[in-house]
Amino acid sequence: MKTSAELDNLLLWLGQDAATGARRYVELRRKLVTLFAFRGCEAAEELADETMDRTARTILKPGFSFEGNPMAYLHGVARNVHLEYLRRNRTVSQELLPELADCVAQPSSGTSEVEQQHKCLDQCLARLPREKRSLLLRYYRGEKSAKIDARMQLAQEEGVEVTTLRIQLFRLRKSLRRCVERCTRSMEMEMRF
Amino acid sequence: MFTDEKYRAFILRMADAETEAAIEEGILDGRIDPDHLRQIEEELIDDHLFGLLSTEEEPIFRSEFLSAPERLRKLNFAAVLKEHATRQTPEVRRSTVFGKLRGMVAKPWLLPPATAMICAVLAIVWLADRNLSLSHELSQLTHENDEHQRVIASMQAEQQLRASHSSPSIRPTETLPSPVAIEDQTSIIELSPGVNRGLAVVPVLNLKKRASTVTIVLELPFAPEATVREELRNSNNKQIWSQQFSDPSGISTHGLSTIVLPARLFATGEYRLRVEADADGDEPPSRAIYLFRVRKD
Repeated sequence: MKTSAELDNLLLWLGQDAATGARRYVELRRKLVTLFAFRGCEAAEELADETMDRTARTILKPGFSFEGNPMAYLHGVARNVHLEYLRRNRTVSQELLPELADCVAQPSSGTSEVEQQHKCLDQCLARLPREKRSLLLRYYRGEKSAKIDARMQLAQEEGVEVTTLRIQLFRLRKSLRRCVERCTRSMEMEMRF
Repeated sequence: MFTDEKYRAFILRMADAETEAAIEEGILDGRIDPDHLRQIEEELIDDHLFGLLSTEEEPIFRSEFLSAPERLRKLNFAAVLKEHATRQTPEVRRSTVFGKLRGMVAKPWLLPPATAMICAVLAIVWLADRNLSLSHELSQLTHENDEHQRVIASMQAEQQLRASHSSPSIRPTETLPSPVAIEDQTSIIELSPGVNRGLAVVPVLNLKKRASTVTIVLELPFAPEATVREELRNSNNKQIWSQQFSDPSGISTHGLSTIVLPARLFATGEYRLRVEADADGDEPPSRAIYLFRVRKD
């Protein structure tokens, strides 16, 4: 936002007063970032800010009138921002993505980065309870035929609903990924020093 | 609200405009949980790794989905994890009873037949145990019955022997061959009437091993005139012997009465002998109670 007047106006438009407006601003910005991330946008934060800036400028224009939830207006602005983003980025990187996907999906063992990740995975997996570790490894070992719903079969083996299993795997993956990221960062720092 | 298939289509930009707008609104107003969408994103990555994406989804996954660096990082992580899992030796998975039970509970249709089977097994076990205990009880009762039959038979033989002698002075003991033989075969105790609680005054019969009979000499405090009833009870107040004479003549000699019983009737313990004689007319019956103890050699 270029001026504080734009910001103040926006806050008052979002909420009854500046304080309420500020809380609403933070909440809506966070949701816009989530929306742009799910739209596959690399610069989700910038796009969310762009949406807010445009809205702030528009509501200051004379003759501006909008009845309804400000979130609905922001949604409309966000869609336009997203379309412009797609037009800007479509010609640049799309051709590279299929090759990139193949590279990423077949990590070459032996590279130091990959071996670091494996070491960190060893450490982080060892911290998990035995049953959870076994569940995760069985899932990624993919012992069943690819055509069979592996999640369904694993759920039956574990004696849980498929929905429960999916949530368990999601949470396990999330905590494991964070652990591995911390581990690889600390290994990199050790190597530097 | 929306199915997972709709969410997948939204993430892959394959959803129709109406669904897209509705899901975006849901994200902005908080009706849709972002974590659920992230879960579906990661499942798309896993499906790609395992070759489970459809022919429509795969090219869009490669060209559109991976445009976000965060998704590329997730794909990288999942790929390393998949390779790591393949390197590991599969752990032997021990299925716990709890796990199996959980599996049963997850399949509700299994519960009724499983419950019925468990009840049937429990019933069989209970019946088998009951059968065993009843058989044991039956064999015990049969044994006791046999013992009683033997005692009764021997007592009947004794009574017949006694009844065959008309003179009151002739008691079974007097027909026995010799004193020496009597001592070997019988243990004798002399009793006076009265219930004495003190241990010192309770007569003790030392029952010899070789004794086949016990001779009890009673001092009668009355002269029996009519029916005489004699009854022997053990310390559990269980009647172990009784007899009745409607003709009392010959029972008592000089105020003494003798009873001969099989030695196997007795175990170590206390005994009570009761003699009751009816009187003529309206007189109440006469009674005498004798206490003694038996000590088996």
